[in-house]
Amino acid sequence: MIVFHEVVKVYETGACALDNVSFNIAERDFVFLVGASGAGKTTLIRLVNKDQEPTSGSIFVDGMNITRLRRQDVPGLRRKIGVIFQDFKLLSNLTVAENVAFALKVVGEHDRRSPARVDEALDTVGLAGRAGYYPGQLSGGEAQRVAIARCLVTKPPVVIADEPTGNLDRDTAWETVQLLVRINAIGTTVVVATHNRELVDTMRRRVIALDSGRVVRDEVGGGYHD
Amino acid sequence: MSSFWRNRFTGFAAIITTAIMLVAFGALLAVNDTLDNMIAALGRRTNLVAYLLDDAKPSEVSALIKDLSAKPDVAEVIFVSREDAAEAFRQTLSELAQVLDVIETNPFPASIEVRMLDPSGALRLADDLRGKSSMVEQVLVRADVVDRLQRISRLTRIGGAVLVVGLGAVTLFVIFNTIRLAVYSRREEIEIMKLIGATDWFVRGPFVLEGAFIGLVGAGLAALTVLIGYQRLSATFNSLVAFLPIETETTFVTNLSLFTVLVGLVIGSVGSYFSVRRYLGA
Repeated sequence: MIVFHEVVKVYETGACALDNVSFNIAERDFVFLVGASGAGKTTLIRLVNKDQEPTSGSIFVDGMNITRLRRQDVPGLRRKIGVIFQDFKLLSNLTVAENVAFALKVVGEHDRRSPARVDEALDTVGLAGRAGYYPGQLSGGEAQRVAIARCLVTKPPVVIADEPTGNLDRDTAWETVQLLVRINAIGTTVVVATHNRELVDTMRRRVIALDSGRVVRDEVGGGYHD
Repeated sequence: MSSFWRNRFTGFAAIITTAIMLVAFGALLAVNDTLDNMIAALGRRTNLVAYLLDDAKPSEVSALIKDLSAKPDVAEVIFVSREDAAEAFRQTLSELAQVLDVIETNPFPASIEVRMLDPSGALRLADDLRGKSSMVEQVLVRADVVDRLQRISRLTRIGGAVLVVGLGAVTLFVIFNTIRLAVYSRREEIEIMKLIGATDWFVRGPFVLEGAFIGLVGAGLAALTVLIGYQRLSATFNSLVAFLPIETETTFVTNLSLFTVLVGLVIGSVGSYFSVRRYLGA
């Protein structure tokens, strides 16, 4: 589903963010992407989402070489990849339901089935009772679940979460990741970039560890530091 | 509309700037059209008028008329008596006719009006007529007037074009920055849209529409101003130059108004399109 082949990313300042990175994440995989700050996790995510271009190497998403993607095809790529952020990125002037429906409008799928799809997404994340609330009225964990619902409503085959538990307490962080596990169980490929050592060590999923832009470990059933 | 309302002060400034530019544009077109009509009207009229001395002998005047009529490049010769001239004044400037009743004597001289087959011969003929100082007091060559009007028209076109281009650049700049502010105020929403997979036009469209709205409203105001102003001013102008039957097309102002609206729409859309491209990369 996501293939990196000898990918290098060097910024204009000369800083090498990714150095000859190669890996293959298959469909339905659940992968933790770990490493210290500056290891290259966020750069990797931005390359997958075509928010940035690699200096060299190839990147494939769902069989498509995205390094050769034309500008007008980038929206199509991004509709296949749901991204969840540490700071949730919700629109404060829209209700929970409107934030989720916003994704359907953006991808051109807003029709009379939308309310049902929004309800289904909110139900999946356990927020059916919060549809009329505004983001400012939610807890951190609830806000993150709204972000996940918005991500899910368009049913992308891949979900990438960049530090989704960074602003959450321990219990809420655990609930959030369990939600991602449930999403993975129904067939979505999930990649979670995280610093949360306890989560990674407890869950023992596949771990791709980055250090100074290099893949130093790619291990199924691995921990944060093995 | 909600985006426009959020930045309404800059939006209204953009509308006013657009309106001012388009009023100048419309006024320039109206002035040029009027000048063109005057030139055309003069072209259809006599090319040369020889005003006669009050004591010119009738026999000499008749002989002169006969001579002029025989010239190969003269199309028509018309003798206008003093009474005919006074009557023409009453007809064309009726609001001033009562002035004649106050004056005891007829102030208008008799004249000979000549229409040339080839207007280029008018100056030479005028010189000939000026030589007959025993009969002719003054010779007025309309070609001079036409030349002067054409020069004025050229200057108006050039000067007006410079003014309109300058104002147009200012208007584009104001719309550009108004949309830039709108983009900035919605940057969070735009970021999310692009991450979710919005196409460039989904992101760009509302801003281009906002710019088009600004251009349209500004143009609407301008068209209304030009319409009202033209009707009021042309009535006054026509009374001042009533001796010159200028034909003004009734559809001209309608077409001008529609054209103004179109120009406003285009400027608004183009200004906002380039602003969005510049600041969104979309």
